[in-house]
Amino acid sequence: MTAATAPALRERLTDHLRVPLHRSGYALVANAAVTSGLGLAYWALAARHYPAAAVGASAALLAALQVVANVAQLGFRNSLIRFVPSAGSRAPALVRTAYTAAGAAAALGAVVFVAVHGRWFPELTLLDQAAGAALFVAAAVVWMVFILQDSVLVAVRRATWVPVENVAYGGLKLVLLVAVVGVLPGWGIFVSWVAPLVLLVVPVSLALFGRFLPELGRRPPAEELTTADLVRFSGGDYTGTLLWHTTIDALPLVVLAVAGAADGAYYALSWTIAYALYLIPSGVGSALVAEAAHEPEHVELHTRRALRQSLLLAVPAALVVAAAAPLLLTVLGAEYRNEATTLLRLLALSAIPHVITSTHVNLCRARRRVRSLVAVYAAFAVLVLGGGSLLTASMGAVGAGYAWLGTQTVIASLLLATSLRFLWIGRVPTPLVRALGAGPATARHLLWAVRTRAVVPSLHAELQRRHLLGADARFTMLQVSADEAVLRLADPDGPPLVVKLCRSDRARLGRHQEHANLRALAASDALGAWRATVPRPVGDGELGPLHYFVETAFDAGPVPAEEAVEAGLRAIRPLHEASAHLAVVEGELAEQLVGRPLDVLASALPHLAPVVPVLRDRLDAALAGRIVLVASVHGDLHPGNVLAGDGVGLVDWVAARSPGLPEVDALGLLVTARADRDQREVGDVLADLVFGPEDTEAADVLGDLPSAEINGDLGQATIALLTWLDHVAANLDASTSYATNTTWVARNVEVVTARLDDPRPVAPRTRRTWRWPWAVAPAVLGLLTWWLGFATIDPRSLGDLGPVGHLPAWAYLGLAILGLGFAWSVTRPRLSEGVVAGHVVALTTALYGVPVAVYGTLRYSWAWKHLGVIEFIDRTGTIDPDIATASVYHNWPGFFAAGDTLAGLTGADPVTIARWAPLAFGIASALAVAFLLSALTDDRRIVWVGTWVAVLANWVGQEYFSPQATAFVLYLVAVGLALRLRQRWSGRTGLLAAVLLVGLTAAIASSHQLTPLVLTLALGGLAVVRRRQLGALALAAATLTVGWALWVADQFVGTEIVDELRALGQPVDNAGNSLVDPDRMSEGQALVTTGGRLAVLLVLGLAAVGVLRWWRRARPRDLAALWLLLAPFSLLGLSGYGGEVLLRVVLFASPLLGFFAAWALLGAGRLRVLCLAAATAALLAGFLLAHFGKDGHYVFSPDEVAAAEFVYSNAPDGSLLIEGSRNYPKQFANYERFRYVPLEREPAATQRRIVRHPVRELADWMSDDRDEAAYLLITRSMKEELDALGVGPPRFLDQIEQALLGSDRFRVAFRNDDAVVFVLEDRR
Amino acid sequence: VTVRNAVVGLTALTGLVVLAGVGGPLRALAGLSFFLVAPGLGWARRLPLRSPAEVAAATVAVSLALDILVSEILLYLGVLGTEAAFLALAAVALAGALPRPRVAA
Repeated sequence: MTAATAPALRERLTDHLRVPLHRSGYALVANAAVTSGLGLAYWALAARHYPAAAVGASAALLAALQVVANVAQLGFRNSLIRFVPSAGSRAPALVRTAYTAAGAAAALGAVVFVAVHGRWFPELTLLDQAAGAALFVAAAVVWMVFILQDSVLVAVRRATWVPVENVAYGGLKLVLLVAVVGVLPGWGIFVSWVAPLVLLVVPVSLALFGRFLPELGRRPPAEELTTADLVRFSGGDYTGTLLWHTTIDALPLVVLAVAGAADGAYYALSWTIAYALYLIPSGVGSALVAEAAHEPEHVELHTRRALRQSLLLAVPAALVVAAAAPLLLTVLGAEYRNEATTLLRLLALSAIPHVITSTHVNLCRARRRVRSLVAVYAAFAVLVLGGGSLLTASMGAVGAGYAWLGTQTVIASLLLATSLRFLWIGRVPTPLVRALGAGPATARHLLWAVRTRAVVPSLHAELQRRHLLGADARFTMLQVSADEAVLRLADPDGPPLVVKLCRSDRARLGRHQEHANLRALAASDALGAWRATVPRPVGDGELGPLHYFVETAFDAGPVPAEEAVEAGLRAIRPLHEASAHLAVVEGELAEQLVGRPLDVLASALPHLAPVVPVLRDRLDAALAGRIVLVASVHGDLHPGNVLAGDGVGLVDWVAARSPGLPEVDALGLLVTARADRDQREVGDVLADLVFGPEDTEAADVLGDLPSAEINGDLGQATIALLTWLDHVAANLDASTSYATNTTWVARNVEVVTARLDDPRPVAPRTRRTWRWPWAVAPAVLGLLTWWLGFATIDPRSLGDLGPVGHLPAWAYLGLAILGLGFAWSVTRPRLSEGVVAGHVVALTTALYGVPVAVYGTLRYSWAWKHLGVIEFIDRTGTIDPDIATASVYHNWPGFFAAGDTLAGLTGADPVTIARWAPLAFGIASALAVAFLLSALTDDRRIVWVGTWVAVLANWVGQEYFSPQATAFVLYLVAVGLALRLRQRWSGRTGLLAAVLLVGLTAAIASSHQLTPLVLTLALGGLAVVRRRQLGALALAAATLTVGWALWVADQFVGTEIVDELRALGQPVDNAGNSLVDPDRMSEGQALVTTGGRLAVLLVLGLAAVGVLRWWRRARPRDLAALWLLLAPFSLLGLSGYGGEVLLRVVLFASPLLGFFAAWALLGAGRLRVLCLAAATAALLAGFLLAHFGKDGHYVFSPDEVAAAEFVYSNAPDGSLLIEGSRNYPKQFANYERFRYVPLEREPAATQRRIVRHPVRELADWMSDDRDEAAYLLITRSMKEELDALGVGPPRFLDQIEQALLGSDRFRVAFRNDDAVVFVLEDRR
Repeated sequence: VTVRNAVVGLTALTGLVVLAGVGGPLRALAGLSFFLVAPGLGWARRLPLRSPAEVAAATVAVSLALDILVSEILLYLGVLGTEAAFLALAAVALAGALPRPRVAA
């Protein structure tokens, strides 16, 4: 592609997508694809998480729901698309009526199903309960509205909302499907299917009734629509649709019955694949119906566009499916590949003619021709089912493929030859059309000529009787048309005459008019000698049913083609000059030039009535009130009417009139000559002049006219349009045969009407509103791709690098799309915060939500441990600050107390709450970061890029269900409030903010140990650099922090204070203790560690550059931002925090690292998109390694959870629990009742001793009389963790497990694939 | 939908499902929404914040803080339970949603 063609291509693509029909079409096709994909993912996930019985029953219930909805939609799905656009102010009422009627029908259908389900479907036990039955009925109504609102969105030109809405619905369904599995193992599928509907119906309805429909209502209704019309259309469409679905659904049964179960399977699965292709014209067709209703005058243009778009998508897709059929079927098994390849190919190819039939059906909807629609569907039912049963009997399932392909091809061919002829007839070369039409025309003319010759003797006698010719006159047939014959009479005794023999009233009226015109010309003295150029009327009369007109003839013949234009113009010029005068285009003149021809057009071709106002508007705009030079005109000047001999003669004055525009005569002559020369239709040539560039030959002709000086500025296009209208109206008026000749109409009339005012997206407002769904498309698409990629991994075998080592390459494409989408959207000239925030939420969901959905169990042992504290509070109603295990949580219990409240309020399993907590905390943290950064700058790009980078830089994994995650969110908002207090808020607002800030601080101080320290440091620093009044809040924070530690948590602090004091003032040691030694680790874990460190170094580097730029560009009035960046680093000098302080520094610094990195990245000028994308890629690489790299052992399988549940449920109080390591679902219930000995924490010498004599050593440990019982638990994750981190002797736990399994002193109390629990056989 | 209506509606719905002992997804949805939004919405809305994202962040954070403080107080008082926590949080939420006192001219 050259540099020049790329922009041209882009421009063409942009133009293409600016057409509403194309946009809607693509959106609906995309919707079909995405919905199918999400549906597959949904059922795959359902099968994975739910028992087969639950899946089967739920699928049946949902099928019932859909059957009820399909029956109850009453044809409104299409009638809303068809009638809402033209309903104007009545649109909201129409939609409400549809919702009410279909909703009531759905409710009724659902009630009936509930009443009868017990007889046929007793498995659907949900419907046996009143609440379940009510839910089903309510779901049917909401589902109905959900379906219909898609139609309304299409109707109001918001089809782009449809895929977005359905992706959101599909996503919510997936999330709920997994989320409610613990709560509703039986009917979670049904609930997850139904619940999101409400979330989507409400906002879409608000948008529709609050904005889109009222916008539409500003227009008056564009067509009449009575209740009877609506019922007729809906009923017809409903019947047609039922026929179509019957055809589709019955054929598999036919194949099954005729050819057997195997063939039935081949057909059913092949059809499932091919049917996806059928959905393409269906989606585009819906857009066609809506657009045609919006612009009925352009229905044919829209039809062409819809057909082109459908073919563009369906033909390549069908060919690919046909070519790749064996490959696609291989997925289903070798048997399908061998037996069904031909069948799938036939079905795929049938999708190509289906584009034609589907387009016709939707055109019928657009034109309200429901009978034709029903006829087509009935033909399908008869041919497909009849042909299918016959062919299947002899050929097997492949016969059904031939039935589809044959039926589609036959019906499409018939439609193309008849009602869809207008689509192609205009493009066929004129000589071919004339050749095809020559046979019938010649035959008709021959018959008429024979009849004419039969009356010649009578005619001769009649003219002799009137003394108009002598006895020896000879007749020559000059011309025969449908309505008349023209004969030349050569009379040796007199001048030659022409006789026009009319056989229709229309022709007779025309010739009467001609004679009147000729008499007027003859009577005009001003024309002088020129009058010899025109025939002179001689007489007329009746001859049986015929009427004859006689006029003088010229002793001349047709002028040579190449001279016709010049000769004709020269001949007509005197008439124009002699009769020229100025006039204003109004009243009768306007009526003559525009009004009457348009009336003729509308009356002769009613289907073009909608285009008449467009033509009128266009011509009125060019002519109304304008002064023009008018004259007497010929009205039908073409080379055939210009005769040359001794002089020049002009004949056929039927259309002559005064006044008229001389330009129409001149251009008419030119284009008819050109049409003859080029073998084209006159309408086609004129269309070029109307819509094409200025034609130099036409300009020369028009410029030479005597009226050019006055009429010149009408413009060539307007004159060409007037000439076309004149030509078309004259022909339609002259003979009914033109109106019934669809070929002539298509090639001469519709060739212009179809191109009038190509509808383009009009109002800028509309353009703006459709953009945002596309702007968030990268976020949705990226997230979905990532999700689907992530769903391919097996959480039980993640290995050394976690999911990173197992994800398919295309999964990363999802993150790339997401990253590029963000980089693009945040650098647009006009920033859309909703779109940018949407990308941030999508990123957070990708990083924290998708793993939750895929892993299926609660990740990370500490999250389980936190559940244990909540369980303690829930069980005992209190806390125990002196408790032996995990006493720190009982001394800072805020998070756990709130957790207990949350579990109570939601009634949900706390494990489920904890599972989804990372997503909630991830999103809340991102919003809180944006809240903080918004207080530092007014530049919203800095805010959102800073938030984006902060999310990516925060790989430390503190978003799990923990006090730290909660406290971090509170910290960010507290600092954000403090920053706002300085400049923006004062008085009562300032007081409220201060009170809230103290509340946040109190919640933090009572929930976490480290965060209050950071907050106190931050507020103290801000008091110094910004405002001394903040000192009071800093003091309050310090007081709360210290007060809690000394008065509430005093006993805990008393035991820990010595260690903490040792760490005080030792930043290097504290940092060093946070760094693990990669040499001990496995290769993968060393890479994980390195990835995290490199990510930190990268963001530090970016932030350093950003600080410089911030300092130079922003010229900050204070150092608040800098202080908030540095404050967390001071933690290094205060505490080691159990070897984790460095990670917490990264956590607390990440928002400001993001802030300054944003300054660096957005300062890269034109390269900022590139820089942002590159930084995203690098930080993501670090994040994925560092955050997910340990998931090989952080993620627990259901088997491991089951083993832990066995221990904590069965071990008696006072038991000893020996753990291979602390990495398992630990301490989540009854945790205070046991004594814990993790083997990983034993000194190396002890570990070696255990490996040497595992049975003896562990038997001794587990025989301690102080313990009520003793258990040893070893799980897969424990082994993987110790091996990966290099803890203990090689294969430490494996060796123990093997030894104990082989010993008769130990008994296996519980065992599954991933865990084993040992007890002593004979405990003394 | 005004803030006051939202808070009152959410509180009423949650009260209905909690006090009537209704279970299932409706309770989960209502309880979670109440916990994350209701206590803080009225208070956060009184701050002159500039964007919906800012309001959302402040609402969630203030709600969490109030959830923590209320639950903790009830815990130390020995009366922590679902109904008690709900009633206390509802009081805090509705207090936040009360109309602002008019300033005398």
